[in-house]
Amino acid sequence: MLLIGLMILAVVVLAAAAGPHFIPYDPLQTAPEVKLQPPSLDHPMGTDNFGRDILTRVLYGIRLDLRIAFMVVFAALIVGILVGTFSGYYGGIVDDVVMRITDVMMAFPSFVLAMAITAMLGNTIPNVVIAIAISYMPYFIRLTRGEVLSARELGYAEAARCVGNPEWRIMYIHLLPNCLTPALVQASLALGWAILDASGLAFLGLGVRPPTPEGGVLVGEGAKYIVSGEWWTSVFAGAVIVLMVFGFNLIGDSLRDITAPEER
Amino acid sequence: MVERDTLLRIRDLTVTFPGRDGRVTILDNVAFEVFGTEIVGLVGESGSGKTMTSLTVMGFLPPSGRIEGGEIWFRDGDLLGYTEEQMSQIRGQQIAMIFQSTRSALNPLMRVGDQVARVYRIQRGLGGREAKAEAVRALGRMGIPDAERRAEAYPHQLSRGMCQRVLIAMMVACEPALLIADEPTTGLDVTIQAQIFELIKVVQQATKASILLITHDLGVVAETCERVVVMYAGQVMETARVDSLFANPTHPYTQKLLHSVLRVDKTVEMPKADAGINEEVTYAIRGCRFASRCPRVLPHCWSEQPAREQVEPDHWVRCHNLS
Repeated sequence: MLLIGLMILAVVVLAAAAGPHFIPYDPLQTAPEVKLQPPSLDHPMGTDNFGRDILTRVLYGIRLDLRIAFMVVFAALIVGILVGTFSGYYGGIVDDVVMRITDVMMAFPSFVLAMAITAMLGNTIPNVVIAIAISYMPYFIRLTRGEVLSARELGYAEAARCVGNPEWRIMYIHLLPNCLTPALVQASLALGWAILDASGLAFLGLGVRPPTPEGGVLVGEGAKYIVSGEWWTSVFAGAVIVLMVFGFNLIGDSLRDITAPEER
Repeated sequence: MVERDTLLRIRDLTVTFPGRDGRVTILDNVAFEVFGTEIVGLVGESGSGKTMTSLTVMGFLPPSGRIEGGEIWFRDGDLLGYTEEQMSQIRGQQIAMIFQSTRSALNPLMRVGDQVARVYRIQRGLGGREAKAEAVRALGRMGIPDAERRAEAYPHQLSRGMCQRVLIAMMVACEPALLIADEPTTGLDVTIQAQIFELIKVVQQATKASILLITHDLGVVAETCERVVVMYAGQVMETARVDSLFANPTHPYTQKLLHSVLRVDKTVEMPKADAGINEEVTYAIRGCRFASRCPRVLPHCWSEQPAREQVEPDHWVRCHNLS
């Protein structure tokens, strides 16, 4: 499982990294004379309504989607583990306040929350990253807090206090590294979701805007031509999104099975 | 009896926790002293408040616990009046504690040498390399063979006995005046237990520290300690020098306790499995908590707390019926 997931992603990443160097087309260059061509040797995935090579656009789209996904998860993970550790360690009112805030955030489906935030901030790439990261934070906060809560009772935190370690050292040097596993597993799953959410936002017109090549943008642009038989305009981009999400999910699931077999 | 300086003096310490029907008194007017440079045994059955007493001294009382009254004098300050910041100055420098759970008391993701070295860095302000060298020397003194290599190990790579030695090294790193050892040999096999007690004695002599040794093993007390504090259900029943306690146990509970120690050379009447401490006892009784199990119980034992009385020099008992 883990291996299959890693292989899928390796293929996708390799294609996105190396592919554009072997292809003569530019993702944004229009060519009206070859518009809406079906897949051929010249254009393996066909061309869109402006005559742009879809394979080129898909490869650039993968780059952007991966970049967005990693930035989202990085931001959500860092903030989540720092806040979660703090909340779990201090407990009491601090913990109550943090938990109620996460409750409110988790009461909205994370995609709807991300939609609301991009609608408010405006849909640029940084704002898409911020919006999705915010909607993922509560999960990382809760996971880390739960681990810290149980680890705090173990002797090493008390022993560290006992020899005069300052609180920040106990929290972030002693407890945090020991409480990281669930958050990291969650992070590998969240990479897949982030791709899905970023494409979803773009598809709805609330995320990355056309003509920037991005998975959701490509599917959205092609959607209107499917009915008239030009299926290649959407299908390849959609398939690549599915492949990436599937890959990250396989990795995340098998990591969870390895680190916490009892939750299978 | 030479007058010695008192290092720790606990007076009338009362601690309550929330229970099903109101607050339960877990420590009831606990009072005893630890003098300079001595090993004091704190004995009592499970749930008698031994660990809770030591946690209160360290300032580690769980958040739901409440100190209702009393004083904990250490040197010339009342620890209960200290702020958390002042307490963290005291911890490690002056009072340290060895915990029950040996292995979980070490951070599983840190090399043991680094954990010991950290104490030297915090408490003495040593630099990284000096602290590490000091830590390796300390581990060597704790009887860890090949300390230089072991310092690079993670806790899971060491045996429980070794982990306990590391922990002791960590706790005595800055030569605290008072070391609290809470059942330091739980889960170790008998030969290792003996070695650890031996080590504690050696450390005590080398650092001139006082040690409060929490245990339920009277054999250990007889061999290791100079004085004993006997606790039952959150009350201190008897405090005495070890020799006078064993020669002349005065409190009915102490007598029962000593009676229950198995001996090879004598047939001992097997101790009856008593009901033990239950919640009702701690709710209902305003007087002596041992009343429900006491063979010499008097009517007023149930309602009045006995005072702390001296029966011979340095031997205090709390009982209405001293015969």
